[in-house]
Amino acid sequence: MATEKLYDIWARRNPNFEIHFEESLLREYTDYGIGASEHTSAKGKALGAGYELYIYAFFLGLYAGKSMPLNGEHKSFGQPIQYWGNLDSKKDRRAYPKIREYIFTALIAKTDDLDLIALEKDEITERKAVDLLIDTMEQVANYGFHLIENKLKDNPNYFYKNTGFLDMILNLVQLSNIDEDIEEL
Amino acid sequence: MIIKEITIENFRSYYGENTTHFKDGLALFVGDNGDGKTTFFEALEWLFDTSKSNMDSRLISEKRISELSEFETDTLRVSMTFDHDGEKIVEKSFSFSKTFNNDIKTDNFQFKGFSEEGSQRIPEYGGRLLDRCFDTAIRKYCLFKGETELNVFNRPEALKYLIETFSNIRQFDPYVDFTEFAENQSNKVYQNAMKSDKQNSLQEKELRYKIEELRKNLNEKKADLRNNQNNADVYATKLNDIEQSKEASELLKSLNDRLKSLYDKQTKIRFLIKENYTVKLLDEQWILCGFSSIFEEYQKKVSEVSKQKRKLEDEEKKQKGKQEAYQEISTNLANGIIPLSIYIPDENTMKEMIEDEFCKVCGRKAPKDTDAYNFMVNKLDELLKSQQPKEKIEEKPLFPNNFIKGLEQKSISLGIDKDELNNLINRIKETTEFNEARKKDDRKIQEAIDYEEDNKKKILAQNDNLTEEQLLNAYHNISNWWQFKSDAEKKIPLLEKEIKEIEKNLQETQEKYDALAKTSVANTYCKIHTALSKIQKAFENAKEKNTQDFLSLLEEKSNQYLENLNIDSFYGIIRIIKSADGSAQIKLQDSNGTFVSSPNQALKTTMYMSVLFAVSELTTIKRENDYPLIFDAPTSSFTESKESDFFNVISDIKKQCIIFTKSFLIEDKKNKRSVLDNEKIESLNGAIFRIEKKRPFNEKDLSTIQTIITPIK
Repeated sequence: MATEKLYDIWARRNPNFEIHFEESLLREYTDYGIGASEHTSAKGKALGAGYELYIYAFFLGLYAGKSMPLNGEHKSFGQPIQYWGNLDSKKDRRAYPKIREYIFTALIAKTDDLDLIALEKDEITERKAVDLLIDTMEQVANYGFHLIENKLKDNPNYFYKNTGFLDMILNLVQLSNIDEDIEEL
Repeated sequence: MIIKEITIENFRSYYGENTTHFKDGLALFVGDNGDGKTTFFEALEWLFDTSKSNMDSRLISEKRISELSEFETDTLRVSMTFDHDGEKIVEKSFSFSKTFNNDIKTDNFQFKGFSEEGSQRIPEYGGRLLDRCFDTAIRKYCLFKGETELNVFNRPEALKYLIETFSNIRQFDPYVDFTEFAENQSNKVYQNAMKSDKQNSLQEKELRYKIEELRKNLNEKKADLRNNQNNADVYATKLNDIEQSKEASELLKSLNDRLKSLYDKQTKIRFLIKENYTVKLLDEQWILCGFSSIFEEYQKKVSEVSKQKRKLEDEEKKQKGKQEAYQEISTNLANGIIPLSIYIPDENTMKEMIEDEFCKVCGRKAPKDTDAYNFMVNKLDELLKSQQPKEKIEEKPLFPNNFIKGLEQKSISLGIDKDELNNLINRIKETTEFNEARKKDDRKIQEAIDYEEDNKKKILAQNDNLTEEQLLNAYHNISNWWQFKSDAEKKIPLLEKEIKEIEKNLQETQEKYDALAKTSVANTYCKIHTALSKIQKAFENAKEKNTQDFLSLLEEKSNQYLENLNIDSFYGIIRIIKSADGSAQIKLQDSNGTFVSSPNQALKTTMYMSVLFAVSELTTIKRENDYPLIFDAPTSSFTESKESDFFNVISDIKKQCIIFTKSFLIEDKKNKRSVLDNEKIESLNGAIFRIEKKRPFNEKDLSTIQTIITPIK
């Protein structure tokens, strides 16, 4: 009988992304590859650690309600999910550990393949269950990364605006709200 | 070099031969306007000019000319006796004569020099002697007319000149040149070795090309940066000069006040605008603004699963309960009679009855192999079996895991923040609206600033006697400078950022190139090149450091003088700032690090003078030779008390200073003329001379003007 919580097992994992996003997006908008740094703004990067863009991409995919399987070579982050958003050493930044928990709840909600009753009955292993969650996470974030890439094709300077990252999220949230309203009608 | 004697003969108001003797230390020439102070100064300037043979007849004393009879000849002469490794004399002169129609003819220009060696007087060309003892470089830091010329760094080449002439930095030049050459050569050899290595040729070519491109790009950007820094400096200085020339304008003052308050307001408003929305997405969890429905989906799913689990558990319990009940019932109903307890009769009684083949419960015989006998044997067996320890049969539970409980806990703990999630959209809206409103305010203030700055340009463009067209042109010029300055200032940080990135990229590419060499025959050349490149950088840095050290020392000395020259008043800290183009600026800073934008003239004068004294002191140390400082009217803007302090400080400085001034004169009301303020003169240290017009003279006739110099103290 497993004594750990599913969240803790999941949080020890390092999700993958398509390797080409490293050059085109992660190094462009985050300190990915530079190491721990306190001077994000001095370098003109919008975000700090590489996983911050991953979280952003995940929410884009989530609000768009779409996912996309990973293609080609993959790569994972150095830090497992359990440390994402701790930001202990960053000045002018605030830690956001709860976002990890919300991501987890979204994965539970959206991973239809995961039979929780079967997991509870021990008919599938917890490893298998977490594999399914990570799989959802990677595919949803992957869709988000492709959305960002497409946006840049239309307008290479889109994310240099102060409102660039926020607008894209707000647009998707507003769209999904409209969809919900239509469903209700 | 110490000046011992100066003779001026027939030079403008100096009629006939006028000789003045000097000692080390302060020599103060006190005279009123038009008494001949500036003429004395100009006579020295004429003497010190080794570049040309100037025989301008306007230099000749009008009084002497008026006395000359036709074809009579006389001489204009300025000579100076000075100490510089022994006594020396320089003497410049030309002859002048009156021709038949009263025209003046000049000729026979002479520039003589003599050096005393033992008892001998050795002649030498005066210009050469002067250049040798008192060269042009030093003269630039020696003669100053008025207060406005005191800023020696106004000339763009001044700092370079100063550093090259008076510091040891020049000694580095051959090393810097050589190491640059060596780095270059070793790089070529290294690249050739890499090229000849066929194994890596394709990659080598690619990286080499990239390095070349990056270097080219880096040089272009650096040149661009220097240009922009230069432009920003040049146009800021131009605008600043104009502004200072209009310092007294009340209009400009009130406009500057308005501008300052607008800028302050703008700074405050800009401080309120926080548009780091991308960071807020995470740090303020704005990214969860659309999450409510997804979280509800989670809660619903977890609650359904939990319900399903409970249902299954319930069903299982029921199932188990039925089975147990059935088993119990089936045992009880086997032959319709409820048997005695297994322990009745007990074990010993049973054994006794079997041995006796007799049932002592019912009182009947029970011989071996009969039903009654077998009944007793079976019952004993059952009893004995029941006394054996029972094997425990473990049943597997339906739900060995308890993950759903964890999910339910999360559903409850995160559910508390549901209101906050729903409210996020409003918070985002409030923040963005707040920022937009502040930006609108900022734009309004900017409009007001633009309007006031335009007015300022107009005021700066104004000048007396300008036609409307000239005024428009002046305005146009100032607007252009304004624009050039602000364009350059905007470009500087961008270029600095670009340069940093290119340098980083270049370093990475060079490292990749060097890594390629490790597997190749070129490795040795790579190491040599790396070493030479480091040596070259070390020399470059050392040169820069020495320049900085020289400037720091100059700053330190200047500030010591500044403190001495400004007793009991604000004086701040002198900063000598090296610009991108190698020139320097003298600025005044307060102890909080703020630059004092327009210090008053007296402070400015002492500031520039302090630098001059510092330059003079440093050059004395470096060249083991002193030279005099000669100022014409440097203290016009000083108050009386400041002036006395000032001259006393100067007299304490161990330096020959010759100063012409109209201070220490008071009006003699009886005779309506200026006379010496003897009380103040008494309190001064150093030699004092009275310089004045010989009386009587005709105010309208220049040929009646003659300057006389009288030693007072």
